[in-house]
Amino acid sequence: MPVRVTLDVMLARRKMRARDVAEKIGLSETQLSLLRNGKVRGMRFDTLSKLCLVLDCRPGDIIDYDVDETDLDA
Amino acid sequence: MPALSASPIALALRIFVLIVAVLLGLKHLAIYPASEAGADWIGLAAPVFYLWAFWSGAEVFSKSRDAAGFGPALLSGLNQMGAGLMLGAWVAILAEPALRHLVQNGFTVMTGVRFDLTLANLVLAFAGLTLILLARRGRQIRAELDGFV
Repeated sequence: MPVRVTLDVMLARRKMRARDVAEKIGLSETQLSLLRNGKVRGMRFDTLSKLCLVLDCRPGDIIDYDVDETDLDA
Repeated sequence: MPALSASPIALALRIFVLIVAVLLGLKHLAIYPASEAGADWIGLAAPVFYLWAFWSGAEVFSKSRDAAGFGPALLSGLNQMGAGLMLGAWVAILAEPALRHLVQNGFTVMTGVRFDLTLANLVLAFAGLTLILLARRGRQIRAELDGFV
């Protein structure tokens, strides 16, 4: 999938542990781990908002996109 | 059978189901005393399934008020309600007439197919099937939603 979750990078930059972030935004550690590994179908806007608030960042700091011409065919 | 819920509507529905079940049994006992019990008790088979569907409907009412929304319990309730309606309808259409015929003839006449094809029973069977398919689709949507965090 061309959309990548770059949460690990932000966690490292903010020197925060995934467990603490998960607790603050109301996700389980398992769910956050799945999100970090890109093993989810999507992310809700409220989850994204909470992550941005807790990590003090913008959505673009957490997710990235690699251009893929075949996306329009999906 | 689902556990009793604290929801007032569900509780009221279940009490209603129990009352109907008791009344149905008493009515049958009054019309057909135990000594004459036989083929006519077969007539209770379809209502039993309908009552089960009603009971499951109470579960649906109860769970639809929960914060979990379209969760597994609600879907299970829908599925059971559909199964109850469909089984009840098919018992009323096929099993009941055939069994009654067999019992009344002392299982001596085993030939021929008996059925009671009424529009009401067909609609109930169709409604049951629709509920089962709806529950199945709901499970797929639930699985899709669970993929989002």
